[in-house]
Amino acid sequence: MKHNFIDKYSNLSSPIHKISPKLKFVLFLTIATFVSLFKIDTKILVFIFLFLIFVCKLSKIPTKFFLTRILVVSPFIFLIAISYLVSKQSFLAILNVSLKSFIVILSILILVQTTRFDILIETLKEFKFPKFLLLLLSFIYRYFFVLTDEVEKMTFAVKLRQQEKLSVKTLTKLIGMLLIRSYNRAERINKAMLLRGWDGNL
Amino acid sequence: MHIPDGFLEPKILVSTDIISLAVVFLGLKKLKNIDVNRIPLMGVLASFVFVLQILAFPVIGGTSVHLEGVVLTAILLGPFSSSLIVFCVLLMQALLFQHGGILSLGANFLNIGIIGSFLGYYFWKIKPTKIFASFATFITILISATLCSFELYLSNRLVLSVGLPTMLFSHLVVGIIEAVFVYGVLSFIEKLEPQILKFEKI
Repeated sequence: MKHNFIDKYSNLSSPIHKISPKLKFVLFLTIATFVSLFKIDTKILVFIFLFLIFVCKLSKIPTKFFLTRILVVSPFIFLIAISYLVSKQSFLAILNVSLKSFIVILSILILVQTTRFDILIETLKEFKFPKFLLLLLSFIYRYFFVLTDEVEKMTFAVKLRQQEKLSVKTLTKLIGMLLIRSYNRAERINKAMLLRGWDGNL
Repeated sequence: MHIPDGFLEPKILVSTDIISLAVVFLGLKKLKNIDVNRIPLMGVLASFVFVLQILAFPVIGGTSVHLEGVVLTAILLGPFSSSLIVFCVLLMQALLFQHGGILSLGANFLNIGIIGSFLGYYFWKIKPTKIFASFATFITILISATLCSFELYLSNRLVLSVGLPTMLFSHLVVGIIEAVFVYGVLSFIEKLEPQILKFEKI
């Protein structure tokens, strides 16, 4: 089973991958805050957008990948475009808002896809991010793969046993079973971690 | 609906971020001296919620719907634990899949995490039955859709007469699906592994 499909481009080597994660994080926060909090002319936004696409290209992230990620916001743009048409605002205003969200998405992508996740967590730790939240984040990252495997196994088993599409009843039971298995796994992990001398620290 | 970056006005962004940070710090304070055994459990359940949000079900018209699982965790673990879990899940969603943004994390956390955990939990607390749990789920989803459209409206991005009905109608479907799932999952757990329902609720 595929096991690094979340940050799958973080192991490539490019000039962007080599920049220190701290610097990347600070730059990312600056861009995100600057773009979200200030009124910026559309021309400058286009410039930043093109620059970030250039950085994406430089970091060897496939074009198709970041284009599909940008499209995540399309329902929102659609909703807002309808509202703007009703209130007769200009097309440029829609472009401005959309570019702002594209820019933040691209900067998140560049940060996450060029930095390994454990290193990102380390960086957040150095910036005094609360330890408890970091623990939860690393738990999510680690067990996400395990639980997706679990889901794949269960849906495979269900499909073997019945021909037709999954019904709501089956899906509820599947999710219930996933919850029970997660709980049992948590118990086992807890015992294993305690045995190895874990005291609640990262 | 996870609001992306760039869609909200600075005043809305800053105020929702401040509310969310306050709740996160309150939660961290409450959970400071918890049993070490509880941390892996919270971590794996956070991972469970994350996986749950990725399993999207296609509905009519090419759009898809995913479960939130917020009220479910609130019922299992209590409001503060659940809100911290949801905060981490939303942060991971924003970082890894670009669903939602970084500065709009506060708004999303207010809509989904705080409303779902606290309102859902205390509503269920009135009469802790499965029916009430699924009813609480339904109501919190509608409330968060309303809040989401008001946040967009106050940022001059949405005309209420168009936006609110669209949001409410689409979330009516989501709410019904999720309510059915919560009922089904709870009765499944009750039958198979009732001790999951007996954690200390913080």
